[in-house]
Amino acid sequence: MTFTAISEINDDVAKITLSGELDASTAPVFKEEVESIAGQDISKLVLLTKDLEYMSSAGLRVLIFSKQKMGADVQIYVVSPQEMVLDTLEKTGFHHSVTIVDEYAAVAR
Amino acid sequence: MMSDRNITSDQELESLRQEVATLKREKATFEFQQKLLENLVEIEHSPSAIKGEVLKTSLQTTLDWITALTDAEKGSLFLLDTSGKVIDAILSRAEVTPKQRAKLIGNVLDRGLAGWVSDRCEVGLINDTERDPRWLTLPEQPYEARSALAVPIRRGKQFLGILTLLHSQPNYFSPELAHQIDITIDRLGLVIENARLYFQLQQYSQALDNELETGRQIQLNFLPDTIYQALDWKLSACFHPAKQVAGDFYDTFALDDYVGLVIADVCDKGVGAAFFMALMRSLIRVFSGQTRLDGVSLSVVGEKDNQKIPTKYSPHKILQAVELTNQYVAQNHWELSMFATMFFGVLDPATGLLTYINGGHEPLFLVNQAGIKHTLSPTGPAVGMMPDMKFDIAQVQFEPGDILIGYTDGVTEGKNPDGELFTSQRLQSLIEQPAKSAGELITRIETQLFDHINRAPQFDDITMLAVQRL
Repeated sequence: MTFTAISEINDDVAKITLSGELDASTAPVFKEEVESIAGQDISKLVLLTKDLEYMSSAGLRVLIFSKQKMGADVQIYVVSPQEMVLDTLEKTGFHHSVTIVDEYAAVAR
Repeated sequence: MMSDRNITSDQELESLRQEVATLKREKATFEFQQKLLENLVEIEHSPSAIKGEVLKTSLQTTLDWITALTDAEKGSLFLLDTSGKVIDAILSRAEVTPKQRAKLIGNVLDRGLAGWVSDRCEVGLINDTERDPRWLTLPEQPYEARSALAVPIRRGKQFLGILTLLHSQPNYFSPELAHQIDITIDRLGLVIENARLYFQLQQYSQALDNELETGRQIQLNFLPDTIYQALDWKLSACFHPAKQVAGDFYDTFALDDYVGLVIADVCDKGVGAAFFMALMRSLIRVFSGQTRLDGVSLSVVGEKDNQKIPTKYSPHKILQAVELTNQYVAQNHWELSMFATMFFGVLDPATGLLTYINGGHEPLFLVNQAGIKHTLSPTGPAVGMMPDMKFDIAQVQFEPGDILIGYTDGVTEGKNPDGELFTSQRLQSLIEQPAKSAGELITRIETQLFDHINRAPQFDDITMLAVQRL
């Protein structure tokens, strides 16, 4: 399945909906979205990953880049990741640097 | 009447003769073109034609053909580079010595008939060299040419070479012949251009390959040339990069009374990963104090030679190298977001106590004859992702006969031709079976893994490190 990353910003919350396979060939697409958001004044970056089927280390690198680029004040939420994606996050220990939630409602609090 | 008829028949005869002559010429022309085309098509279709000597042989054949078909006494084919320099000279019935030939190469054909042709990029026909100012008689010319025909070989706007035919009689080559060769020779341009592009590509990829090979040699040099061996311990390792250079590495080194053990996997593959492998490996060595202990430190002026550094190292202090490496990479290179999963262990060979940090790396296993007795799971995240990460320190005790085995995900994710993974389950079942030595255990996994991968391309670097208490 082809990879897509669609972003939208509402107030201080940036949302990126990811779907398909995030690997070395598609990571630049994701990175571009992140960079376009990075300049904005936001406090939350929400990644909707329900339809993200796969994430390689190249994809994880973009996630790390996002976290570093946005700074400590911006919270990153990973919403409903599939098992494989969650596994990649947990294996490398990056799940400590983001907040993983099951539902988007949990972010909106 | 009779004479009239004679005249008529004479005229008819003459006209017939001319017709026959024309037909003959046309047939000859047709045959000439056909033979030449056949030869050229053969070159183009031959997959080996573009390989150096074979192309030259084919061009030689083409030249010999043209020379024979036109009854020329001599022929030459000069191949030019984009600046007009002669890069190769092919001569029919070579009377020219290799020395003379070598002299031609590198010259620009700016004089004589060749100069005229390359200036205009059009056919140059000389009916009599003695009456044509374009003809240049060289002082040591061994052969007297009276007729000369020079045809440019073009490909689009590019001028690729010149074909020259010579004969000792004047008025030997007709304008029709010149035209025929001119229109047929275009195909030769295609052949030459293809060859030129192929060579450019080959040269470029060769140069790239050489660079990567240098990188590979340097990287191999970054791995320990001999695996450190402590008394009553046996260490063993293997390293199989997927590409010429890799992101995996292992390291073994002495740290005062301890032994440093590292197995790591830098994310990504190839050159980028290799650079970070070099960086991480060096940082771990430096921050753990290994380089100082190894006598690499600069001696301070006034310091006595052979003065022992008094600091005593503790495993906990040595393991700060992981935090320091993480901090350095995450702060200085965060834009690249490179990281490594890394196990760093400090072994006390006297007691068998291993103190370690597992930074997001695949679990290591401590095994004995009964199977896996300890799993050394991550105690912290991968190294280099974010600053200020916390890495817990854990300990495990070796008993005599115990073997510790570490590996990178190239082992568990080794794919067979059907895309099926080797899996951690399969690896663990191999590890569960008793092994006599660290080396035997690694060889067992290697054999099974490469059997599994079979002829499929190796996707990821494969590295293993095993440590046995004897």
